[in-house]
Amino acid sequence: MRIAVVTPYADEPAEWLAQGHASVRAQGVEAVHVLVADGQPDPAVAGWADQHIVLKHRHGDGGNAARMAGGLSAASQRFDAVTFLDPADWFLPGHLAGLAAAAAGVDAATARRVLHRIDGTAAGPCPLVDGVRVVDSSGILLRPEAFPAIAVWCLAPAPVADNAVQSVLGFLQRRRRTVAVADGATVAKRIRSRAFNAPFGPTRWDDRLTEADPPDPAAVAAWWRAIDADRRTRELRRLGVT
Amino acid sequence: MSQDRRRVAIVTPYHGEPLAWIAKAHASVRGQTHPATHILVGDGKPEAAVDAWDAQHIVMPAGHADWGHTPRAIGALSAASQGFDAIGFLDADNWLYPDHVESLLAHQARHGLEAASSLRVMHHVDGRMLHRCQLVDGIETFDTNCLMLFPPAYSAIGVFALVPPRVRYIADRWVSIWLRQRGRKVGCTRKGTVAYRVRYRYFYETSDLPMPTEHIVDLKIPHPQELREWWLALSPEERAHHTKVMGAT
Repeated sequence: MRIAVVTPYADEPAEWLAQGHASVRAQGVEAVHVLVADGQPDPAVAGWADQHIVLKHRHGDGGNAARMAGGLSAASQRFDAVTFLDPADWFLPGHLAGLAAAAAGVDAATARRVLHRIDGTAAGPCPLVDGVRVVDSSGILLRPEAFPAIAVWCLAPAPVADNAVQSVLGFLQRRRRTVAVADGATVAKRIRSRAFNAPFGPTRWDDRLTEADPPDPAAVAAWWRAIDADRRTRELRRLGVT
Repeated sequence: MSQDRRRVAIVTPYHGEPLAWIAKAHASVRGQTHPATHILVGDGKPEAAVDAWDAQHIVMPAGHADWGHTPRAIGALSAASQGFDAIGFLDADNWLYPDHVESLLAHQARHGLEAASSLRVMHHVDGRMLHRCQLVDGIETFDTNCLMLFPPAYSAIGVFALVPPRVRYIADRWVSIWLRQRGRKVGCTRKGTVAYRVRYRYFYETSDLPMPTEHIVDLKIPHPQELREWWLALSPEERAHHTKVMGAT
């Protein structure tokens, strides 16, 4: 299975991007790493990326347009599968092999995640992401019949676009694509929120802490429940669900 | 100027066309009676000059060799992500007449359309006007340059990049089919507001026009029947697979 791994980036530290790239290389699975710059291309990244796309106009949408650009380019290049890796995250050993195995005979696969502090030390398995109802943007792999979902990165309703992967999952489910969950938790998720990291003391990455907490998947469901029927119809039509 | 306040993006993929042609296309976007943002996508042969234009620029590392369909989809979905209210398309060798955007917006508003198209006017490689296109009717057969999508039809954009490679050269026909199958309301202005620069060798061979000496391509525009025959020759499983990959089912 030829897999493309798409990483959006904007202004993350080169060290984080290199760690993510090294984790792709260490998977022992044939994978092409596509880096997509959202407004701020790094020549060093262009030097080591397998493919490097540049969105010169910064979208500032948490990497959604960049994920779409890399994903759709890979789909067009006839990769057998497209997956995503956030610029602050990395894959644990066996991640791609596990996703590929789970995706055999289905349209998409998801992986669970292990939370890490901003300095990269492990904090424990994530109790929230189960790969079934809640997914992480670094933990979803799409096979060709799920490629229409790639556009959803850019079509997710604006109020919940900060967690567009939930819309990607919703699209797959409502369009009757089959989704399997890989064994184990194989996404290393670096949490940048100040509140999450505060109990563990200062690190050299404290200038990279954010005030925002990670997106709350429950907020996506709550938003959908709160909108009226006309708005829901419009959004589903825009997403291509109906 | 138009009183309509909707934000419109026009997407142009390019790959090796003369810079003067790309500049003419850009000038035609900038000259619209309804303002439009131009998004240019360099598909493997980026032009540094574009960075200085009042436009957005996306640079792909290598050409996708699919008649611009993948960069077109990427530029358009970028526009969708930015919240544009309407998205049109323009090939790098063509240009728009000044009222193209305004007339499409007005037609859409009048009829409650989810996708609107214009007609096109054929121009010689050297730029001079020839005649109204006899093939494109704006409903059954439309040209990508003539098309404008509105939010309920944005999910059709990905189709450009997901059409089976064998027939991707006519991806616009697949988009047309997708729009119909997914029940989107499509209409045509019946106005020729796209200037289509004809580069096909067969076009000149079958006319009394002198054959241009450069910028000619050998691809023949296929008859819709050819597409139908290819499709019907596939097994039911293959047809189901391609239909799912394109998102029509």
